[in-house]
Amino acid sequence: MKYLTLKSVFLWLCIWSLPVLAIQAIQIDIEHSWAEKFDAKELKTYVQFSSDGLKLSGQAAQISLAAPLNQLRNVTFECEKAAWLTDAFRCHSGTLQFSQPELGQQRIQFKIDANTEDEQYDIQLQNLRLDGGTVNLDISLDQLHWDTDIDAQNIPLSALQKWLPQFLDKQYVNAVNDWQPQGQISLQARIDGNKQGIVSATAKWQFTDLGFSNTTASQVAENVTTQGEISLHNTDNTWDFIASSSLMAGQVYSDPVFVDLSTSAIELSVDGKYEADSNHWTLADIKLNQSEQFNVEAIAEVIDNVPSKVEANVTVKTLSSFYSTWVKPFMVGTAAADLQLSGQVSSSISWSDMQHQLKATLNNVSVVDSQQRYNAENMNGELVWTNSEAPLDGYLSWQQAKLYSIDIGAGQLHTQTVKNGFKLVKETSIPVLDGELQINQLSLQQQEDKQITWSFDGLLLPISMESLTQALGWPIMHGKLSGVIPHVRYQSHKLTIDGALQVKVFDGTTVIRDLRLTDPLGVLPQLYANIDMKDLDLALITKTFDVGKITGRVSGEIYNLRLSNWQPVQFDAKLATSEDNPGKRIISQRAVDNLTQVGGGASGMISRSFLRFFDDFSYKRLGLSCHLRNDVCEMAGIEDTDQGYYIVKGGGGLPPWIDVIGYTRRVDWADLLERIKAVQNSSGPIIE
Amino acid sequence: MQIIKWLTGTVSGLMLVSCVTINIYFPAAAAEKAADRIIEDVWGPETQPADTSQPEKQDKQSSASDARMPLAMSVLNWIVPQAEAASADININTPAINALQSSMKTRFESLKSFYDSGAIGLTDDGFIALRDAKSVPLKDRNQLNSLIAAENNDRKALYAEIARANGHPEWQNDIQQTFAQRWISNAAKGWWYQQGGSWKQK
Repeated sequence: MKYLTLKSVFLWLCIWSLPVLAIQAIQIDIEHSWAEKFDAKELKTYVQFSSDGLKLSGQAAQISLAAPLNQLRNVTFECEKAAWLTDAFRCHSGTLQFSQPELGQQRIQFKIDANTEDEQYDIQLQNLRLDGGTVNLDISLDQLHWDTDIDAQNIPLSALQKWLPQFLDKQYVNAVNDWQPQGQISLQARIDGNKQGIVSATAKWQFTDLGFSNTTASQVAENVTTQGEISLHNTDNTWDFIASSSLMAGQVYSDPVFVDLSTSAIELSVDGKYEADSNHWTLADIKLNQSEQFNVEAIAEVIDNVPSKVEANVTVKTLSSFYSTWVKPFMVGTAAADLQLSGQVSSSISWSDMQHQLKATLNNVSVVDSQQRYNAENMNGELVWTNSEAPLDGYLSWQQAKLYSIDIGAGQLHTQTVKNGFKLVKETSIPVLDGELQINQLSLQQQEDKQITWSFDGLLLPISMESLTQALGWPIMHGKLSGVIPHVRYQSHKLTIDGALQVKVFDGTTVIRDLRLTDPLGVLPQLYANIDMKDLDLALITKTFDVGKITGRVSGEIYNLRLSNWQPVQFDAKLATSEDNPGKRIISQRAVDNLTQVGGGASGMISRSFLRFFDDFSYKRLGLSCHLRNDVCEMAGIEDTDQGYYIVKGGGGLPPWIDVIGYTRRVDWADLLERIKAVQNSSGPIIE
Repeated sequence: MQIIKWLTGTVSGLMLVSCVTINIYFPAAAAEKAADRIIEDVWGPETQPADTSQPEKQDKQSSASDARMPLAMSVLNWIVPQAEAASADININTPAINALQSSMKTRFESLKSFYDSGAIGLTDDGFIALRDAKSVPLKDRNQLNSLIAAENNDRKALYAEIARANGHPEWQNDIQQTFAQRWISNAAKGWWYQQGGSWKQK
């Protein structure tokens, strides 16, 4: 106290006991006193002497102190059994009361032991109340060391929030307030230090009902209980520390991941050191564990706030729940948006000097797409990924798989990964239905814009049409599907197949060209192709589709074919008697009836005419075309008549001959399919 | 004389080409009707239909014949393309479109409460987006994210499919813009929509 003015000082002596005449009490009244960072109004102090020692007490209407305490009002203090010696001061049961805007009304017990000669001081404060919570402090210091014990119980975060403007800039205070922190914290800490600063510290904390949310509610915690502890030691500005924390209850959402901690607690522990002079963190032992889901063991180094090295081993405990929590939220809208998974996965991640590599080991992993577009069973292998130039070998095998309704047998791929891409290191064959897909080359690359492109060359070894049509749910056809696939590319969600697929079916040749598939596993896959057909045996076709017997050979095309979601929605198709190889051309009475119906006529005309006596008729040519657009099939035959078109033109062999003429040019596609399917309700053809 | 002949021929040719071009203009009015039919089916009768008192929008085809058009072209328009324009229509009755429509209709049962609460809103490019995450309980966030992604995938596929089904894949953006307007026009009172980057409530 540099300056002290006493406007009025009263010392009064009170005689407690007449036989002993001594000073028993002193009262000092100070109307106004001030010093640097101290300003008191109406300060009164009392000193009472007794056989137990001194009793100190006092009061002040207002005391102004430096921030953060600022103004204390209605201050009273009392100290029983105080001792004030030349080199020491003791007060073992003191009470301090005051009111303060942020702290409210306070009644604090304190204890002071001060030895000025040895410069040893011990101050204890108990029962500082913060919005329902309590804080106890014990501060000791001597010439060389100091230590502080803090015991805070159930302190509401809102109580601490009120003090932030005293310590932080406004922008940071606003940032904290924007997160709307809620909850309570309990803390037990001990900090030891010397003149240079902190030497060691230990702390245990527990947050209960912790909640916060940023302004967009993309980072939110609700009713979280978390507890943790830390122990640190400082040697020459190098801090060794061990810390652990567990999140045990409540819910957390960090867009897009949601974790229900009450069903799946998370535990984290870190053992490391921080070299403050070089701003270098060495995290020698990081353990992160989520019950039932995953376990991570890692090491890391961070220099100047930039990670320079990270190595982590991740063990997935339950693949299905790990996928649901940590993978699925990132997959919305993709082909992996909703999977059922089983099996074991472990992985290692290595990141150093901008080079990274990832290895994932699969052990009997099975995946099923909930929309039943694909599945794979018993996958084993080691999947690798790296951006470095040092190649890494990987492989993947599976027991069986399915793509839409196509069965794929057991297979394996051996790959080499380098610089964000991989390629197949040896040719492989994958069973597809009863044939094989031979893959000669397969490569995948992640472009700089993160888009994935891949390509492969291969060979489709014969697949029987029986198995293919059965898988596709079509009428059973006979023959083989095979072809060379010179180059398949996937780029910008588009699959393009160069070369042609050859289908040996109905004893003829069908060639599929210009195959293109967009959005293959998306909402609405689109398949485009041009198809040429040569010398198909009508007898086999009509037998397959059971539409009455027709013999002869036909050739034709299906150009501009588009399948939307695997259903034909557009094509320009025509099929007509092969000009250079027409074969023996005979059509049965039933086939005539059915063809008539397809052309829009009614059935049964033949059976009502004299022609019913003939089972078969010769014909010269037949043919039909359909241009499908907008769900309407624009039909035509081999030749136009005045009002219609010839579907079958009689001639060729021996009579009887028959012409079938269609009159309906525009047919609803769904209706046409129905007609082909039902083959009923037909009126007779025009028989000439 | 040769030059005049050449010029006349070239100009006539250009005008003819122009007329042919007009034929593939986007039929906006028909697209709006098609969009309204789909939206009404997806959202059902609960949502209030848009105020139809405003004059019916003209197709872009017919808008080509406004007063600023050269006389020769107007005559040619009258002779050649008007008949085509009158018959312009948008087909939305294909299995793929029906399937998408049905999928969106089923999903709407789950999305409706989020539209009503303002958790999601209609964007001005024909999709939906999360508007007010705070109104969604944390445990429901992932489900809503999935619904939004699935709905937007369906919508994107729908716009592309309508354009393709009508033989004009290049119409996709026009179809999308038409739907963007019609979703908002048909939205129920209280729902939120985006306009110029900010959210507004109907």
